[in-house]
Amino acid sequence: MTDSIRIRASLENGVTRVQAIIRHPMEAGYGIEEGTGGRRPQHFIRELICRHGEDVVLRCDWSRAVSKNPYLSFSFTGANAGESFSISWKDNQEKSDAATVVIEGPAGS
Amino acid sequence: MRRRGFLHAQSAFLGFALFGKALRALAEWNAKAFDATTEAEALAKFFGGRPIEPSAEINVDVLDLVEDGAFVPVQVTTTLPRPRSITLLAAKNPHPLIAHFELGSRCGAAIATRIKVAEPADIIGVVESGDRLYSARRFVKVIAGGCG
Repeated sequence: MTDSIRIRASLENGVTRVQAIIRHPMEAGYGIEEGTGGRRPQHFIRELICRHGEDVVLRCDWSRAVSKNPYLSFSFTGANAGESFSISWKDNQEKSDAATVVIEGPAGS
Repeated sequence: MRRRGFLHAQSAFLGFALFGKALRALAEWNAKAFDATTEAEALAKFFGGRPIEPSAEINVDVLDLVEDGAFVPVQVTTTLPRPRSITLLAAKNPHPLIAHFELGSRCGAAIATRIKVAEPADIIGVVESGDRLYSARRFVKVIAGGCG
């Protein structure tokens, strides 16, 4: 699963606001598979890590009850525009992905 | 170069020793808590039976009524000092524990996400502040349950 992460990280008044959407089925394992009639296997992100440079600013443990194509928003301080922010995730099937963006400065700067 | 590498390792170790509560990049996913089937069991397994007291300094922001329980926007904010983590539960989901967020020291005291809510129930936010646990809850009515 590559290219699954969309991130916006923008700095304003010293606070970097992060909004991210991750393309992932977040399958709880209750659904019935079309054709076979069997249960769809669980498939969900278990761990997600947000880093400013190398520093972990937020670490998440998720369950099957985070919505499909998860949305996450939070903020952190201490970053400068132009520095890197990254998100990486790993799911219960040992699949993973990571993405890095440059923190945007205030509009017009 | 080798010496520099050693110094880096040393300062990293020192940093870790000084800030023992720095976020671990690796942590064990708590299967017992995430597989628990009641709110009480999930809280007991996740927090090891530690007491949790209600707090007016936590706000669980969720709409009163949501049509699709598969996508329920929720935001937890707190004014408690130095919040270390925010944990989200839906009281009547088949597996109530939904998500746990460990906040680094530079992370703001607000997390927003979208969750699945199986039936009308309280959404619970637990905040760890200092060495203590606090919680707040807010009822959401969902029309179509999302399998949580």
